[in-house]
Amino acid sequence: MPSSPITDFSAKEPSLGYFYQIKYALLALLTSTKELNNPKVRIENLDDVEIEDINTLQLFQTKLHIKNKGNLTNSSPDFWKTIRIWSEHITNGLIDIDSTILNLITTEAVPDSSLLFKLKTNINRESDLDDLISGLDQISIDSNNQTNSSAYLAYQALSLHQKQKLVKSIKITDNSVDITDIDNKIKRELILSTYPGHLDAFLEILEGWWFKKAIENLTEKIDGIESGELQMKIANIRDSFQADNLPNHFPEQLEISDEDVNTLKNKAFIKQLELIQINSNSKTVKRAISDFRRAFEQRSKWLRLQLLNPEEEEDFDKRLRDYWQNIFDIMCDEADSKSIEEIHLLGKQFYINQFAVSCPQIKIREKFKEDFLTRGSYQILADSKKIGWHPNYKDKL
Amino acid sequence: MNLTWDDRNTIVANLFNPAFCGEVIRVVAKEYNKHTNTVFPYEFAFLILPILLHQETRVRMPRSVRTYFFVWVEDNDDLFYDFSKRTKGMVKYTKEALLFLLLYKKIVLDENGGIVTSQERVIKIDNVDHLELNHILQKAQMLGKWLSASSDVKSIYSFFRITP
Repeated sequence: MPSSPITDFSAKEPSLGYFYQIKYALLALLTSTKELNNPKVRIENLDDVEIEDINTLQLFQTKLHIKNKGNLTNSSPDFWKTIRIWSEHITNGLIDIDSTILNLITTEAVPDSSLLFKLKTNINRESDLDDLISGLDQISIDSNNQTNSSAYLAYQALSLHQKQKLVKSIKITDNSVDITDIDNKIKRELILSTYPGHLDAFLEILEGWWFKKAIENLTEKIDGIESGELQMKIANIRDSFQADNLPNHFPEQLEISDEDVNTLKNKAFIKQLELIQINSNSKTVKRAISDFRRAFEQRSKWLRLQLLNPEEEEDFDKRLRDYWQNIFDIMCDEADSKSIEEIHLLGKQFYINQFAVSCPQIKIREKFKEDFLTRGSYQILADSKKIGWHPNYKDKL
Repeated sequence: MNLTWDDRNTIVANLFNPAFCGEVIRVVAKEYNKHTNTVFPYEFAFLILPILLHQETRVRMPRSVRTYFFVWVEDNDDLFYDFSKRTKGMVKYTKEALLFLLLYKKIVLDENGGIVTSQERVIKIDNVDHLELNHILQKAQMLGKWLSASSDVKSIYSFFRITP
């Protein structure tokens, strides 16, 4: 659709209003999930947004203003349109006013001089209630505002008793979060659902799903969206994030030059490989160096970012050593009756088969599946002589 | 108690070595004592490493102490949701660093457990290899000044929701 260079802002406001309403529904469900018993949200049913649980019903009128953001005045159409909807619901018996909370959410402000200011908190005093009703009565009779006329009629159709209940149930939230703030507000609700730094990506996925559900609700494919469903979705997204909660910063193998090998040739882990007659110029040694470096850098990085706590590091080492100890002992038994040459070969096979060609399936975190980390971590342990490949490595180093 | 040096995981041993951790703590305490009449409380020592050695937290610290500490924590609460866990994980390195400082007479404890530090200049090494170190030390000075303007130990711990 071609757009004119000067777009009429008034057309943007309503469409942003729809987004706002749908996002607000998500925020409302997230918030009320903590307070109510398995609440359910409906969009554009009795009201813009409606939250229901077994005991209560909350209706939300959401009024988004971007341009000409001003005050919510006593005769503002936003307020009276809302009153009209609620009055008609009461007259038609659609809501049980005793267990319903009527919320007007507006990005405008209610000045403290205004009659409506009292509606920002619960009305407890009878005198306040009387003042408000007579004030509203007066506006609805005296005003000849055309826009509001049908709203005035709907309000006047209520009995005094009904008016009292209506006014008592109204809660105005003014200066409400606007369209840009609402994401932040939602993120705040989700803060415990994922790792710091993942929140934006998390919200992106959740909102995609939420808009889909909202459309299903608006096209009446579903009656509403239950908090249980939302909770499930959040758990699912969280799981998918957990899978990569240890990001792989070193996905590529490193190129190791002969020079690199030369500078490292006195390192214990290279000597360990020499013991089982793996030549230091071999590609096998270069792979081992690459794994060593990647694992060392990666584990340091995780610690620096505190994605991993030091205890997990220690625990990982312990599990690596346990595994190694088991198969190493078996090999040592085998080595008992062997000649020196055969023992070398045994050690070499032990290393090549168990730690080079394949690698023990021991993971620092369940879902971090990169073998370089396990392999390289074994090289680090070999470097500190905590493990080895040759059956008599301890005596020979 | 603590593992011997050789038994440690090399990576953990390097990153959380007591000389380094100790210097970070000393810098914070020194700066704190400079800006207030009270002596740096022992309990504060345990908050230092989890704040300063956590890269994300350190990077998000404001430039100046004009921002209130509490306001900053509130505004960055995504950094602190697991702060008590992080703090607990660091206790043993903090203790070890304090022992190290005591042993080398870089700090003394007063009768109330306050930490009085030696007055050596904080050495920052000015080259690219030490950017991270410099940043940590710089923020350590800031944290010291910051804490000196904050309220008592109890409110800070409860603010971070750290329970025994």
